[in-house]
Amino acid sequence: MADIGYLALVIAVAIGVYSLAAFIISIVTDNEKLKASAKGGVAAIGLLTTAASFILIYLLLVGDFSVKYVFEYTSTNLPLFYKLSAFWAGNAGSLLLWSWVLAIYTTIVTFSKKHEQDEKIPYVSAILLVINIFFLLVMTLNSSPFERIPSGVAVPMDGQGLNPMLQNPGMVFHPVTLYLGYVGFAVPYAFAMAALLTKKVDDSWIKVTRRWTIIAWMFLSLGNLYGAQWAYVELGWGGFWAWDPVENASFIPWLTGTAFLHSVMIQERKDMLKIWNMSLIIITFILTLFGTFLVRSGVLQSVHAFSNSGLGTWFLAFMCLAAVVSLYLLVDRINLLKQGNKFESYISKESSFLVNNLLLVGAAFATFWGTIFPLISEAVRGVRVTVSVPFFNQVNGPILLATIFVMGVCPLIAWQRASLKNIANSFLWPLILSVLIGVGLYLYLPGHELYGALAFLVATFVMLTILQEFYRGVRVRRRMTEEGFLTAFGRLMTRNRRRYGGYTIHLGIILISLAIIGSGAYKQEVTKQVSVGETITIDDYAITFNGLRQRQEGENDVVYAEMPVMKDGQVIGTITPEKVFYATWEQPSTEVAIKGTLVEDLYVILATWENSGQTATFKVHVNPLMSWMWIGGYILVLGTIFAVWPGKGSQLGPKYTQ
Amino acid sequence: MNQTTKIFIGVLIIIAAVGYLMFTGFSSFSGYEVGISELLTGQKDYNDEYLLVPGKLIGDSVNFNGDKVELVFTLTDIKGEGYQLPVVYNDVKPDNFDDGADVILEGYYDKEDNLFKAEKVTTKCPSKYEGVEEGAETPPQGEN
Repeated sequence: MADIGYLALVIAVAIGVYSLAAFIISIVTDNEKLKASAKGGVAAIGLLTTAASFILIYLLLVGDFSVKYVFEYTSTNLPLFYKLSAFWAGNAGSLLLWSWVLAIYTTIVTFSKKHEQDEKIPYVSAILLVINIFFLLVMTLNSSPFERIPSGVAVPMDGQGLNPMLQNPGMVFHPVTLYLGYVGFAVPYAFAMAALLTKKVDDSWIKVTRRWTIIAWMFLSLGNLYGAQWAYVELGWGGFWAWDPVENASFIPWLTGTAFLHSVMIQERKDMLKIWNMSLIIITFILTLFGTFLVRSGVLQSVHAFSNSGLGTWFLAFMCLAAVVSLYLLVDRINLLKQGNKFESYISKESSFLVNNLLLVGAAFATFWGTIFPLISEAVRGVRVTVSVPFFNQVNGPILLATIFVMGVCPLIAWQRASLKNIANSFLWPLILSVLIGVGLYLYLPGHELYGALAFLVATFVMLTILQEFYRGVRVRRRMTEEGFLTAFGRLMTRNRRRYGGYTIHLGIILISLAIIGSGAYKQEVTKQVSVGETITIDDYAITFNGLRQRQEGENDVVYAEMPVMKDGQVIGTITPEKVFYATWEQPSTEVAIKGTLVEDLYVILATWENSGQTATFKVHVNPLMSWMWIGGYILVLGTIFAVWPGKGSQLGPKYTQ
Repeated sequence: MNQTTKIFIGVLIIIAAVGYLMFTGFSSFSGYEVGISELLTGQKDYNDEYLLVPGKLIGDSVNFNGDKVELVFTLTDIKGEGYQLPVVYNDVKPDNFDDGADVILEGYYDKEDNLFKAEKVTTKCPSKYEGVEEGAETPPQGEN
């Protein structure tokens, strides 16, 4: 079976090369028959990578330990769920996942009915094929998931098992969503390059790829969030976000991708920022490769990296190739990308989009620079200078807060020119209310956190402007149509899905920001050793240690503490932090216990115990507003789906709407 | 002043602000990444410098004092030259903290006491372990 999988990949490479050549020749000679054959090749690659993926899944499920990859990442007793997710637990498998997603995307783009008349499509397919071939080559030549254990060695009875830290639902969702996002940006990139190649650089490539961009962006957002959620519950990963190089690697393209999907709106509406948009999509695509490179090269100290498997050079080479070719095309065609319009006012929607873009790209640049600084300083000065977590917080904190502020202001400013009256009209009430909230928090909450209160002020201001916008829309509609409140709300939303989907996404982002601000500024923490019967107090909580217990869960032994939790003197339930002793792993794994409400998470870690459980050490956090991070994430997804769902209401509204 | 100039000035202000943030951030929060051998035997004095030090954990050296919430352990250098760095960390033991684990320390080194005071200890994500050492080339027979 494994050999068939490998063979599928080899054939896919061959077909890829043929298809690419066929596309190029058919474009030059205008040979429709050859073009059809090239398209067939794309479909074949889609099928072959699908077959290879299913073979890998089959091997993982049946536990064929003669395959190295299966041996290294699974064991007989691993739950089905995690046998499946072992697909992308290692380097080779994750490359197959990438390749598979890309091949399917390529097939969809190539065969889409919508694009039948678009003469750019053969170019797009050819560009995507180059990326396909690269990934397939890496797998076949460097790291194949189908490699067998050396011949002459007896097939092991059982595998090494999946590391306990990877046995988390995050392992299932985080890599898949992240890759769907990463790979998704290859499509708008390919369209942009095709536009440059064909010298047809009007905004059709932007219109065609809008859904791809937004959905890729949504998956990248989700990928980051699932990563955060996972890191939040794993001890030793430094909380939901630690500015680790690998975390940054997926955050930087998110920032530039966010900038891109905003600035293309300016091009759609006003025919401006064309060079900027081209540059942004090129940068975003290269950053997705950079992220993949960083995770696999071992050049930076990271807690999440794969081992250095010699793949770094491959990715570096491909990244440089993509950068050189894209930049050459951009510079060569730059006179085609003339602006259609000029900025007419310094307070206008265009200019606020520009500010948003500069801030996002600024944050991306600062994060990128901080991440790769050890490499640069080593090259220049011979020492690796690193920056620590406070650097990223101090630099990105204000920038992202400003971005959020612009997010509130931007959608309410009219295109072209905004009047002072119009501004006062839109912002008066949100401003008054949010200042009251900010001042109140500053005075009322312990610690008198100035930055925390200020950040809250800004975030609530923006949230209120968004809510006000919904309210006003409904009011205007009701006045005109005399519909009921809910009907008016529903119709308002569904008739302008792009706009209100966007507002919904903004709302999600605000909620995520509130969680970040809240847990950052108002987190409390205590680590304490207690004996049986003793109580740990933190904030309004009192948690009592009543000794340790043990239970069996499948093959694993679980040691846990069942601790009653009191809040303000009332019993509000029990919390059970655990240590799990895996049969296949030397060290126990810590399962944190979280008692979450909308206000805060009580987060308890059973760190260690002595005297056969008579004393134990616990680490307890109170993390305010954490659940809003996940709620915000789902609102973001809903908003995205709502905005891009095909059909009525998803078109761009008339230009220059006031 | 025409609109383009105003926009241009606005752009410059934003770029300057980001630059300023980065500059001050760098001067306050940068440190050095050094190997253990360099730290112990190198010429440079790293006292009072914020350091990032990767190393491998010596499993037997780990000792946790719950009373003081103090984790004491020793790392060896990654190249296997035998240099050892004693570390103290006032927090609980991270997961995956077993013998030979790749650990990244952040904190300060006190040369006089020969003690690294860690402010942050992270263990590498397990996918890093793939094919690195035992088992990858010659799988053990039967159960293990």
